[in-house]
Amino acid sequence: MSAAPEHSSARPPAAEAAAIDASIRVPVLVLLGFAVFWLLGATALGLAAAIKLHTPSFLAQCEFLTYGRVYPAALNAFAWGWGVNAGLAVALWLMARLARATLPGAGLLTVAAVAWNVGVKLGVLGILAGWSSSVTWLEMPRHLMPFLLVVFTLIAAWIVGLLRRGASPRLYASQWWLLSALFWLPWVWSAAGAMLFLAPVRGTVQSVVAAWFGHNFLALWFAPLALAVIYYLLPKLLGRPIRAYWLAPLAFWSYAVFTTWAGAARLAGAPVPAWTPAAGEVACFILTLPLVVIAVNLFGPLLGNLAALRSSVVLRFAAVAAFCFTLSTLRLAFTALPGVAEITRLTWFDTASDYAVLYGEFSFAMFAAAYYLAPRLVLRPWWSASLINAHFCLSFTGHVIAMFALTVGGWIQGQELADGKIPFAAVAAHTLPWLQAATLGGLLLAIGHLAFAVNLVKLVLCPQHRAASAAAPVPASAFSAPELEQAPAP
Amino acid sequence: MSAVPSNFGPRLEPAAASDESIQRVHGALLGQKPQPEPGGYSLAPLALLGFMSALILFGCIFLVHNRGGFSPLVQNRHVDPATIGTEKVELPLPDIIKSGAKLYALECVKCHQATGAGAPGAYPQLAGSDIVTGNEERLIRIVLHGLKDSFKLNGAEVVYPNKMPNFAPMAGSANTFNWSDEKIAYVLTYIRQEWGNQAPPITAERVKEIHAATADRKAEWTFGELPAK
Repeated sequence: MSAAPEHSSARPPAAEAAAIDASIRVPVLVLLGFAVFWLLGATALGLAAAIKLHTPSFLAQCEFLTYGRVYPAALNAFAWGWGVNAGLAVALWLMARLARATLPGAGLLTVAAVAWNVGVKLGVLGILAGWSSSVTWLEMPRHLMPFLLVVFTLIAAWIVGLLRRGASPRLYASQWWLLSALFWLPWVWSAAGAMLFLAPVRGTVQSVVAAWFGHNFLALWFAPLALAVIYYLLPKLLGRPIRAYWLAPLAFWSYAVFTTWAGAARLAGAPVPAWTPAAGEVACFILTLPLVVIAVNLFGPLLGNLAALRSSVVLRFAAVAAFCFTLSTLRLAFTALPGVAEITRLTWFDTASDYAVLYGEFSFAMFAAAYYLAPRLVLRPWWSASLINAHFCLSFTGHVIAMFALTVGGWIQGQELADGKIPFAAVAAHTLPWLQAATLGGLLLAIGHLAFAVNLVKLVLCPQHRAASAAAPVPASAFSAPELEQAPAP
Repeated sequence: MSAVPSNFGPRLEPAAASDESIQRVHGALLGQKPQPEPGGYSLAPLALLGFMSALILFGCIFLVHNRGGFSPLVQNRHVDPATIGTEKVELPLPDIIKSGAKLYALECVKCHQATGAGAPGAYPQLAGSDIVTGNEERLIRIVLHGLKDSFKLNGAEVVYPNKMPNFAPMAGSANTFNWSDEKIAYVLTYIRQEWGNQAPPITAERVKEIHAATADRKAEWTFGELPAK
């Protein structure tokens, strides 16, 4: 260790971290609780939609449970309910910890979190009631959008404001990704809202805007948050710095510049000027540059400590998230290759590509963060270790099954659709076994989410667990952290 | 690196680095590029630069091949925008015959009749007529600008009381058919292949070409002015 620690306050790091955790406890737990509520809701709705795909008579009697409503309701509950709540919870915690700032006005922030969830609930109910718009990810009734946008922006601004209060003189990579995600989402969201609802652009441009938003909602909110968590947790748990960290800014900037273009690749084959999807496809190829750098950054410390994966579930969640980031970026580049999109467009293959970001990349990172941070906020260990292990196994197996089924099934579907000799009804019938396999995967995910929810409720609310922990308190040393050793320069 | 003793397992995973030290160490690492040996070079930055250049090169080539001329009108990337509007749009022959039949039923049928037999002494026949199945240019010119006085039909000198009217616009003419070259081509192709007539189709280009050459014609042709067989 070359330099002396720079504590701007007199407090030792462990005491400082404890004070920060205490200041953010309520809003983070409220956001996390809502996130898990929405995760369960979205899982139930998504499972219903998945079953309807191969058993259309399932729940077909109720108008508000028809496929056209349940499916967007599931997507929106997942994205705006689970995705934004969990993202904000993790962003708030990470930003407070890395900026080394205590949170002012936690009560107000909690009120804002409740307001957000009231809005999302109205939105999802609105979709089920049949008031959805037709734009993917923006199906919630359009009049709710300004309210949600304002609430989100206020919460995001609050989190960004922590930087000013923080004792840390530096920004770590996780903070670049967090900060930009907190700016990017209001940007793409308000731009798409203005161009599609407020003053709708004309004709073809609408589909360009919708495709741009459809990609960037995933690429500028879900992916950066996942990366922020992984960049933080790897050194945190492994005690090893990021490999080739001097390249990390290159990854950040090249990702920021090119991913906004990549959305246009979704329009391959659509009735838009040919150069639009072509430019998007070029961006998809160039995104392999940040991918290479990020893979070196993250897999460097991981591959040197594979044994740690066996003992740490949090690391396993984070490693799967890093692996899924790699895979989904490669999928993007693969789909952009000439001739591939002609097969995969409008098939389950494309849907699976979105799920890889939403679930494999984002949700696994959020699970990792939640399992790491929650016991530190309530100063108690999780209720059950086996539920944590079960959650990982179920989520991993379920995700692999669903991804495999939709990827292979979607590829076969695309090839058959391109073959004029196969009737459409036969193509649809051939997808059935794959969709049934995907439902099986979804079922495993649902059980895993239940395990997660039960564990979280027990951890935070269960009186017995609380009493047991109070009787045998966790020693302060369990919350302290040693200094990170600087690896010798390569 | 010292491990924090913990017996909680996954219920409370120990941290291996404090937040402050993560910031400090990475802050120092940010400026630490790999230092080459004296006289040597380090491979990583070079390999990355090579990869970046390859991506940019490939991206440019890809975009040039798939840009569709950056034209707002080109939606199919496999189309070369330079060829748009230059390729010939020809109807298939059955459609041409169908259009020709409609045009025939609209005007020509009034004199030459639906059977193509004309009216003896009043209007000449088209069925089995050597003028219809013969010289393309002569036939086109007759329909473009009309025909008056006597003419030779199937080897016999004939004369009819009525003139053949001009179907193309002509200065000094009261006729308002104003048929396009395409319409004339369609109807001529029809009458050359109907009622047992068997002669090759007449293209719109051929009509256009002859129309251009005779654009200043101000009166109906006499048979002697027309090219013979």
